[in-house]
Amino acid sequence: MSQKALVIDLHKCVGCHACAANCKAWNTQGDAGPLTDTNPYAKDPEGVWFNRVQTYEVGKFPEVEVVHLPKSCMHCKNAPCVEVCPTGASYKRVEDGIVLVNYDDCIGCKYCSWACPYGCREFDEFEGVMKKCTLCVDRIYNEALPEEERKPACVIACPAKARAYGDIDDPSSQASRWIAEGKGYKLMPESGADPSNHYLPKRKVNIHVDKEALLKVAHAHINAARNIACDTGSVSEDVAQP
Amino acid sequence: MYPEMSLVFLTVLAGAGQGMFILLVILDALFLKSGEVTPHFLMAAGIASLIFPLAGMAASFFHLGNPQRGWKAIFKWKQSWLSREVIFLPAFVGFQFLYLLLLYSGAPELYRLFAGFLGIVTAMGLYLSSAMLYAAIRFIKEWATALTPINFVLFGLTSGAAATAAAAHYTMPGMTIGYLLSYLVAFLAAFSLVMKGLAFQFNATVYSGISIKNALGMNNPHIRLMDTGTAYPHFNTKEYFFPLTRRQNGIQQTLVLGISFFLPLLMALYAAWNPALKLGGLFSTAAFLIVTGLILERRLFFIQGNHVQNLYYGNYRQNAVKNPATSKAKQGTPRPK
Ligand code: SF4
Ligand code: SF4
Ligand code: SF4
Repeated sequence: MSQKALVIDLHKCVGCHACAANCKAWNTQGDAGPLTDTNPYAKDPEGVWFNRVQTYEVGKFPEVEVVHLPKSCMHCKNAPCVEVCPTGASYKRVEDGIVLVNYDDCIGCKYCSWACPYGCREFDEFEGVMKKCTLCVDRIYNEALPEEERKPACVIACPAKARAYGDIDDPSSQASRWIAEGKGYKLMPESGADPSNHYLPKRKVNIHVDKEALLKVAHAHINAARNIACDTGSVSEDVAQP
Repeated sequence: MYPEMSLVFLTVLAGAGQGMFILLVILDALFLKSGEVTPHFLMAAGIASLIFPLAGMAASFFHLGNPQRGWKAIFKWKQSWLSREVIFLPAFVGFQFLYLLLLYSGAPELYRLFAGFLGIVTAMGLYLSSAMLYAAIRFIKEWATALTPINFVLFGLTSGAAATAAAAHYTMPGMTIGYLLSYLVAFLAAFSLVMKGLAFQFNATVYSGISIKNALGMNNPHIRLMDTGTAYPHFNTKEYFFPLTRRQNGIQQTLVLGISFFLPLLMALYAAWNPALKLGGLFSTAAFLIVTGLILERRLFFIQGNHVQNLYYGNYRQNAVKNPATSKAKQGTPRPK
């Protein structure tokens, strides 16, 4: 069995929304597009996005950190959305475990979205069908693209290299290695859906700050500031006296 | 959950029609021979019971994004309650129609009652599948309870009984059946009152055992949503959440219990104590009140449904009393190292 999925490193994610933006761009322009919007260029734009990033504050000052959580369909192994679909429009592919919606069969009853514990399905009001992340099925097997670009658009876009894509059932894949090395976990495992996407937790980072090194940097800045101030001929007291 | 009015109308109206039809077939089997119910009554009540699910069916189409291919929903009857509902609804209407046709044409009793029996079976199937459709969503604890199917059947029978009583009083004034139906309506209304009270109580205390900690997979008692992401509000914040303050909740619960069950209960008791009166008007009013109250009830059923995905958007209504993770006592205790 093969199960393609995404692995997202919450430690590296900087919350820039590049994955979400590139996902929207690819999927709205691709073969299965568009992903419709209301008011796209006006106040309060709304529309279908397959990937959204939420930001949380975790902990209390001073033990506090900011966590960005990019969330798209988890391609669950036990996908509850597929079980409830009355038409069979929602299905899970046997060959790679990707969960897809056949827009030609979907009647837009929204029942699948109620059954998804992660809120990863989005209704397209204009086309009247349910949509969701396709794991970029139109990229990963797309022979018209150069080999190195046959990856999900969100993975390619990520400037922090926080996203990996691969077969989580194959221990040698990059995704599996990330999970194994970074202690990958699943969101809300008690949902029973057995999500395939994994997240790598924030890690504790201890940076040793050396007083000497810190002062050196500080002095360098102060000298630079003094030079600029001298050039303009106005040396103020506090700059002149470190 | 967002209260989808087309589904509210579908379940309430079809439910009333199912209740009415079940009752009148039973009355037909028991009392037509002895002349205690008239064919005229059966016909009138039968036609009324047909109009309800037809109206519900019409409403349901407004729910679909692509109603023109709604028929495709019959494919997955083996796995989806929605698919079963889509099959049972027209089947029920079909048997209702057949029953009325056989009644009208004076066909042998056996055929008519058999069609009626199949109508009852499909009506029960429809009750069960429409209720299980909600009860099967395990991520909405307010729905995933045995109270959901019990109440769908019970409330449908209550509204159906009131409408049947109205038809009996109009078409057979002064006959014993109308009098007996007063008792039935009173009993069902009282039963419904208790069961809906229980459901409200359940919803006020149910704790799903899940919190933002599970949603994010982070064991920290202080997690606060800072940003909801692109283009807010969107499907996830609108479909799964509908604002409801504690006060609004209280008012709506009182209205539901009062309009759908308490007032009709008083009316039915009044009728039971005054058998000599002509009470068609009273029972039509009672039926109207029940159906109106049930529309409010079903709408509130949606709104009270609290989907776990709301956790990600800070929209999850925690029942603080029952929630060990957020209760004061728990927060005060030191965390294990
Ligand atoms: S995340 Fe939701 S939409 Fe995706 S497979 Fe799982 S249940 Fe289905
Ligand atoms: S909205 Fe479409 S994909 Fe979802 S359950 Fe209904 S028919 Fe299936
Ligand atoms: S895999 Fe493709 S469709 Fe899914 S979130 Fe990434 S870019 Fe979007």
